[in-house]
Amino acid sequence: MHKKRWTGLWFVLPSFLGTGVFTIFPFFSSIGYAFTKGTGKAEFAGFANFRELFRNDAYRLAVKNTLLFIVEGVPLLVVLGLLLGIVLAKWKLTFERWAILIPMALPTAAALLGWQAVLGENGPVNGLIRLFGGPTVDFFTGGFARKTLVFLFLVKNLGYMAILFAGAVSSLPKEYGEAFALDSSSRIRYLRHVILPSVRGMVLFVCVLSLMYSFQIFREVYGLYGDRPPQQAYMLQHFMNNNFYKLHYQRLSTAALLLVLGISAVLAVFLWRQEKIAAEEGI
Amino acid sequence: MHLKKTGWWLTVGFALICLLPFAGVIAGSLRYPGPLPVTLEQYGRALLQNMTFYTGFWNSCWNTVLILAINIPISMLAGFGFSQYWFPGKDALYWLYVVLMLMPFQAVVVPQYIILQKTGLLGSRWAVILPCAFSTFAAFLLSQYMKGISRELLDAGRIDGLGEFALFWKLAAPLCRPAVTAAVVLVFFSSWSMVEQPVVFLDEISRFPLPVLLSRSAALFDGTAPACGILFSILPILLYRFCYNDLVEGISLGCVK
Amino acid sequence: MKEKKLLSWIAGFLAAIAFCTLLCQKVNFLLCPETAVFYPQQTSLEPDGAQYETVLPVACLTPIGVDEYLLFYVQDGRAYQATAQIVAEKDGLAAVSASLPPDMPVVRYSSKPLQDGVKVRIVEEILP
Repeated sequence: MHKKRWTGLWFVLPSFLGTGVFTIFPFFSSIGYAFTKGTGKAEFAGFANFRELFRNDAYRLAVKNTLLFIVEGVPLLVVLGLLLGIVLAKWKLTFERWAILIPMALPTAAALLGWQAVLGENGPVNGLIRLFGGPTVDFFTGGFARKTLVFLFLVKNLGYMAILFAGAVSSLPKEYGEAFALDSSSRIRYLRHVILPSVRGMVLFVCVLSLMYSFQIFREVYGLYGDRPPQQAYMLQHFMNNNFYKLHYQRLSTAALLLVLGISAVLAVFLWRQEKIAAEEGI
Repeated sequence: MHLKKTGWWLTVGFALICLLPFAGVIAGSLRYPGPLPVTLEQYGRALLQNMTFYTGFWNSCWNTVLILAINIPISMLAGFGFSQYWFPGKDALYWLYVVLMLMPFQAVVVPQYIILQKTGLLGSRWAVILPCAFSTFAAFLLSQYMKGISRELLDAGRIDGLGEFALFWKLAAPLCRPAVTAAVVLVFFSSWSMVEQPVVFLDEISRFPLPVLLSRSAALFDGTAPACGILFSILPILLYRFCYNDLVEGISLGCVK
Repeated sequence: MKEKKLLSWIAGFLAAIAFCTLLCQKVNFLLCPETAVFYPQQTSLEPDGAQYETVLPVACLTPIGVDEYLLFYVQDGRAYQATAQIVAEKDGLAAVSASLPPDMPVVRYSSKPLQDGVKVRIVEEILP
């Protein structure tokens, strides 16, 4: 019996060792940077690094943009994903199912070339706008920059989320749906009283995944603007990259520590909710 | 009735939007300054004159293949361990894995840089491969899927005298085929367009994977970037085309419940 | 069955790309100018015996204006253009003032006319 206790750990070990060496251990050893000053001889600095970081304009801009992006992008992705998932669960839609996952398969670099052609100054979208007498819209560098990024984020990840929801919705017993009449007002009731409660667990899972993908938007931003994005698209990752090139390890480690704490806190709330749901459903 | 129709139309509309960027690159790749409105000249130039494309392409290939070769086996093991056993500290470890999965690369860039410097890997192919090969996403995905494997099946296997590893290899692994395929495909997609790590950990152009070259030094491609983008998309699209069913089943966690 | 098909597609595609890589290498090899290079030296030029930083054969320099010369140096397999002035000259050797990266070979002969940034192949190193 005693041997059994640790069997699971043996399975996890290879992966854990690698992760430990390349991520976990270095991360904990770098926490020290956040509380020290000076390069040669490190000196304990208390929370001075944190105070300095909060006063930094670039950091504030980066946090603001990243939070705005997450607040705009993630809920929209979850809600649209759920709606699309319900539609997909209802019909067969072979072509649509196939098409909505294409943006995930297309490499970012290629997709960006495509979007630049489509949304660019001489692209078809601006052509249409001009046709209706509107002014040319600069989707990438003007005031639209963040909205464009949210749009790219949605197109890229919506398919994945919709497939996840479609799986959860179609695993509901069919009789549930038949019990409700099919006129439109009760369809909304059906959504609220049957579908939503039964996919709660999936909603949490999708939120976590969306959060993960929202940090990967940096690939698009980097592909579009390189190291110097417009104000609206200056993300936390840029702040960190720039400080990395300036070898400003202390500031960087402080920012990283705050980010990790933030993510862990959000995640703790999610997991706590999930356990509650699991307990309610009696799994 | 009319709610139904709206949903259907919106879905079709969204599906078309999803194909837009693909159409955009294809259209872009068929143009080249010259008399002809539609030509394959970009492809010719990309394939026959541009060594940069091949350098980038093969770098991407190697990186992706090596990442998959390390990441997938250890993630299968970890997923099995997390989903089928209890051991002291398991919940904390699992939580740590999820945090690591969510962590943007920049949060660990300094410590990783230092460790790579200390091990002398900085600037080599392995500097990009190793940190990615131990990313925890696949382990998370597989453990979610493996939660659906029935206890009774494994217990029956134990009664038949199979060891714990044989249980994993003979029973669990074949059952999780769709999820493993999904993990392979998703990790492939993500490593194939890897940008963050090479930009920081590599300094020689000859080691950069193609996406970085495409976004950083478009000048190297003499206007053939769209064609290179299309050639670069062929492998992921092939993978997508053939693994579609497994991918969908794997990510919709078919086994759960 | 499907896996077989997928694998054969992937193998086919990779083989095609590998073939094109070789072909492209060959094309680039043929198009790439062959050059003979000379490493500029830090020596003294007789008769005054003064030390000069950069001394190279006069044949490396192409006049482009009054007292201005063009030369190509090779860095990472590519030829780059630079301008130079002659400071002193003796026996086919010239001391020049030019902003060259240190220890870079300068092109002496080339099988084709060079342009800034073109790839070149070094086939010979000329010794002083």
